[in-house]
Amino acid sequence: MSTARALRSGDLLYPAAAFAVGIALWWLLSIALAIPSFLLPSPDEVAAQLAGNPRMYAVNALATVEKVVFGGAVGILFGFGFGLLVGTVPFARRALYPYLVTVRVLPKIAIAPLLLIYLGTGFTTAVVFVALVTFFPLVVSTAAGLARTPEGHLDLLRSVNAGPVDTLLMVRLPYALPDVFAGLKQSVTLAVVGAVVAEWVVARRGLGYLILLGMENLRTDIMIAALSVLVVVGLTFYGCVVLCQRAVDRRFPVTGTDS
Amino acid sequence: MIRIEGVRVSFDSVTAVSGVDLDIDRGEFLTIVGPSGCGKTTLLHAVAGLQEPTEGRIGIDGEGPGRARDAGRIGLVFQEHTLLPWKTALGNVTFLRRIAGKPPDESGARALLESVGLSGFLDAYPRELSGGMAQRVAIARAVHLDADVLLMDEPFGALDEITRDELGVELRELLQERETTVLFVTHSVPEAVFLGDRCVVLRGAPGAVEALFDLDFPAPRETSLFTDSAFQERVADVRAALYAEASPRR
Repeated sequence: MSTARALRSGDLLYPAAAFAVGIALWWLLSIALAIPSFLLPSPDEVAAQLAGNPRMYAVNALATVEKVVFGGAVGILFGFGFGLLVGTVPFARRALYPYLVTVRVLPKIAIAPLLLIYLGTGFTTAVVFVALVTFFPLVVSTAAGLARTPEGHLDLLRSVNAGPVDTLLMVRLPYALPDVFAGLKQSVTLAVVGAVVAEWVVARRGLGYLILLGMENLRTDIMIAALSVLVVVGLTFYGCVVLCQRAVDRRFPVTGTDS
Repeated sequence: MIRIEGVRVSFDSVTAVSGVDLDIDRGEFLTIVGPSGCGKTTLLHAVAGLQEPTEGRIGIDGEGPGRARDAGRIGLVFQEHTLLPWKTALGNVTFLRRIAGKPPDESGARALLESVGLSGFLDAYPRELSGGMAQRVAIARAVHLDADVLLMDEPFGALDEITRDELGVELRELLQERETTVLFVTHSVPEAVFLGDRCVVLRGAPGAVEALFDLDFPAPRETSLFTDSAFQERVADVRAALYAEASPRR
């Protein structure tokens, strides 16, 4: 049941081998086909670009991280709170849930220009945008998770006249945790996407901005270098959620049991 | 005692039970047997105060089920054990009592689990328990509430027959020194006859009382009773009531 199982050597070996093969193919391709480096720089050129300008990448990565952290925190806080509301207050659920589901089909990116008009081209716009894209998946998954408590448990709690707070904290929320974390994983992934999109639209700093800058100057080495840093940033956030989930899962092992 | 008077429970378009009258004495073990869909569970929910009767009334020592529930007098056991997967056997037993606002009694909970043969499993999680063991924990949880009304909805329904028989013996033993009134719903006629002081046959749609049997076998109830000819006669009687041509209702 537990997500934490011992890593076998193959768990790391095979992906590492695939990675090495991928890099080697890229190398071969850029040499064998003599692709001009402004179109496809070789891996060593990208590495040199990264190593040669550590400050530039660090500063811009930090700017992106900042948007993810602030926007993500706001979005997650509100998303979870709203999810609790929708999941526990039947009236709120009936009134709002259809819209929460409907909004999922709307590409949040399309809202960006509107925010630009309302909030200008500053940091706030980026944070609000990131918050917005992280908000929705968490609301829906939290609310769905809270609906997952087995009916028998609720009858049992009602039979001892349990209060709503006890019911929520002791039973419903723990049962909702797997869904909450599924939502969180979506949220942090989208937070990074949101930060990059925001940087394309409003920012003067950040990895997204760097990519845009690289494109305007046909510097594919900068673009690919920024992309690789972005992968690391994204994986770090995702990894944080996974670690949290493992810790919580040890305390509240919900999966793999019972009615 | 529990008095059920002219109880009818209707949902939007369906009437689950209708015209049910039953008096259950304090400390009595009443088994309720009947086919699926005869409203056994609904009746149990009504006594538990989880379902308001559409008509008629239910009194537990003269109080409404809601009052009895608020006082923590009602214990429930279902077919599913409904143990919290993240709590140990002991944790599951004490947890409900705490939620019910009663003073904690961990040594009592331990003793209870030991008395149902789980002394080695106090700290085991539900996933580590067999179905029978999990159901023993669920029973211990209900008894630990110090509820004087125990409502059991096919508690052994998901277990194999041998485990069922064992649990039946244990349950009677466990309740022997307590003044617990039990309403025990089952699909199994032998189980109903083996366990009950009385057995009521619920039938029809909406469900109504078809017959009531006194089961005055000596205590303690041992598995040897299953081969007793008086027992088998009783089983046949209950079966006959269960499968008889629909009798005209009063």
